[in-house]
Amino acid sequence: MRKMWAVLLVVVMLGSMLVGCGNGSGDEDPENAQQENLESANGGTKEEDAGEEVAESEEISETDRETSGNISMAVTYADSNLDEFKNIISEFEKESGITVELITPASEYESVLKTMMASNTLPDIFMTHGWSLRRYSEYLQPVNSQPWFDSMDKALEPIMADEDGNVYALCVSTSVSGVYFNGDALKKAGVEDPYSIVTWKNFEDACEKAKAAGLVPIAVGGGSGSGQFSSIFGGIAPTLWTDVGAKYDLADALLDGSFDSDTYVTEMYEMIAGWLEKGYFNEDCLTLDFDGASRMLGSGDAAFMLRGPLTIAHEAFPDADCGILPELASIDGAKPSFRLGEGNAYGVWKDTNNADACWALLEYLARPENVERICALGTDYPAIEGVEAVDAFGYGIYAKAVEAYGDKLQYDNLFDRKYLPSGMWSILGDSLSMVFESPDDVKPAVEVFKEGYIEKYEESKGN
Amino acid sequence: MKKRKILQNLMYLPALGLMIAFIVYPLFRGFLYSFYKWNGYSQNMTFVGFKNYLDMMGNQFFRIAFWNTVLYAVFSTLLQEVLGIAFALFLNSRFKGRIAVRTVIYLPVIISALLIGYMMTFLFQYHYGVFNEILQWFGMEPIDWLRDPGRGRLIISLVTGWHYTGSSMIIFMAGLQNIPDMYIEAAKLDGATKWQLFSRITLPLLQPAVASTVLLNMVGGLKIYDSIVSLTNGGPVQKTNSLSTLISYTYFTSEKAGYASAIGMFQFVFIFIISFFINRYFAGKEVEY
Repeated sequence: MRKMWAVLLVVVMLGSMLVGCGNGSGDEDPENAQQENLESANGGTKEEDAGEEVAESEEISETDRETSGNISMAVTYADSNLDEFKNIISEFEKESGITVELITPASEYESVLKTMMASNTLPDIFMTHGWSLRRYSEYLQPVNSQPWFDSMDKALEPIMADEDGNVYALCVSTSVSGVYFNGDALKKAGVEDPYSIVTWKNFEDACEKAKAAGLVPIAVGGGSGSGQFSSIFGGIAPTLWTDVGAKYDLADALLDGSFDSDTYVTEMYEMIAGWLEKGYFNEDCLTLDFDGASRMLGSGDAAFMLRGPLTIAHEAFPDADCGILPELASIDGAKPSFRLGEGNAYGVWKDTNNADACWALLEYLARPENVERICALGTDYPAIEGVEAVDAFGYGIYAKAVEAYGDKLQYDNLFDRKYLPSGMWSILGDSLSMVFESPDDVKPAVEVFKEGYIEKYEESKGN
Repeated sequence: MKKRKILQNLMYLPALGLMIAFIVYPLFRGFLYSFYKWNGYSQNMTFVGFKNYLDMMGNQFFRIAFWNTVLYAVFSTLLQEVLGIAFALFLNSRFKGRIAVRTVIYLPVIISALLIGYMMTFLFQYHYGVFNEILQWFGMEPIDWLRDPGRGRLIISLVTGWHYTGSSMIIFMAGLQNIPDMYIEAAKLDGATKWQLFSRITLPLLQPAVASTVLLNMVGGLKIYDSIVSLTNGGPVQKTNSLSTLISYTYFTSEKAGYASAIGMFQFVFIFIISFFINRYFAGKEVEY
């Protein structure tokens, strides 16, 4: 009897192991592996949805189910943005009969996607958050043949297309980065018209006034990681090195590897170190997180923020007069510049089993009424022709700045994506954060940039 | 008899399978990756031999993380040992509310380290942090507690030490209950002072418990991750990173998975060596009674 129990136990345990392993090779694997992160678009859990589907399943034949489809989609949205996106998806489900299971890792999105890519098992659709070309293109299907492709903003093509002209995601909005301000705080400091700030010199004058008014001139949330500093680097550097009419013309040098870090990075870091010494940044700029910095701006405790978006500031203080300025000019006479990048963008996994359902969803998201709703989730502006998104906060503040500056504006791609070799993002942050830690001596920070730039440039050339 | 032995061996298979799947195989893959240049997600990788290991040795952020890890492990272990023994001795005496006190001391152990870290940031943060509010009540300037890397390391060590003191205490309490009363009684009859009782009788007889806790706490300290992520996120400027947080940062943020694997392999070997010497040290100190 004992033998029989022992055999039974072994069989059950081995069986459960095999079942566990067996799940890995099935088509359903991505969904099983991400069980904890899975939510249906309607907000219910997978189990709840399964229960609801039982009643309907009797009426739906096997063929019908395949036609209607079941796809997974990973999104970066969280909180209220996620709720609104679920509404959009829910309406798509009703219209198409396709079930969309949302994967919502929130702040862990990048890590989760990287892990999925390493195992070559991705959701059917996923957001590319600025990396459709450099990071995700080998996992995505080109979208050039889709009916909505021609309606995508042509200004995005240099950012999103590879050498063969292939674009790998539906981009419904363009992210805009610049310098963010609180108009109420600036008024309190005596700066009546924020759009009169054109150069970094004007910016420094405004910072002085803000400081004199007892405000923190610039809020920085360095505690959220080096990416905060990477963004600041990417905002200021092109105004000195690559913009039309900038103090230096270093675009070619950056691209051909002959860039002199010792001279130019040192100069930029000394400018920022000067701001630190003048007390322009919040005391806890290295430990405060980005949410905290956003709240400082929204509440009017701070006048400027060098990194966006304004989503948190706007949500926490909806009545605050927050806005965006372009990255400012390094010398008089030069035009300030907006950095444009891929905003809300969605790509289809190259190995998806249900491409038709995926394309149907992307077609739905590309419709003007949905583009408007998606733009309202953040501070991006529409990248689909014929969409104005006038009610969206982000579009509103951007349009206001464009109107205020008129033809005294220029536009360029995100600095690191265009002028630096791949893999520099974290190096920019590591390097600039060293300036914030020790503004008295910027040399070690310049060294970190220089070493990283040379290494990544050599790698990009295959050396 | 032979059949029974086969059956017995078969019973090991599930555990063995799980060990192979979740420990041996990932370790082997990590070892392989450490010889490649790989961004952590691409299907392509380039063999670079020992370059990752050589780069690691010359990298300032690795050196900082290594010494931080040693500091976190040693300091938090010391704290857990001293506090653990103190609380165990205290709770070994009979008094009203003993169970409640024991529960309170043990409670942090069952809370996630990440959560403990986030709770602690409310104490240490610059704006509205509890300590800064207290300082301001007395008219003093607030301090950005976690901005200075030295202070950040100390806070991380203290928080980790405090967090796991309860588990050391439980092991010491079990050890104390195993010490026969007759030795204590005999020493008391001989006129031993309290300190002599502790240093000559209790502590030597607690050696097995000390060996276990030192080993567990050191290994835990050498793998410290969660509390750093929640308290400082490795900053400022990666100066409070441990090897574990550096691995995560290098793998996911810097996209250098091969290099991160090399650090991981180094960490594995380092922990292995430290554990070996701790075991060996305490093996020679066992007391027969």
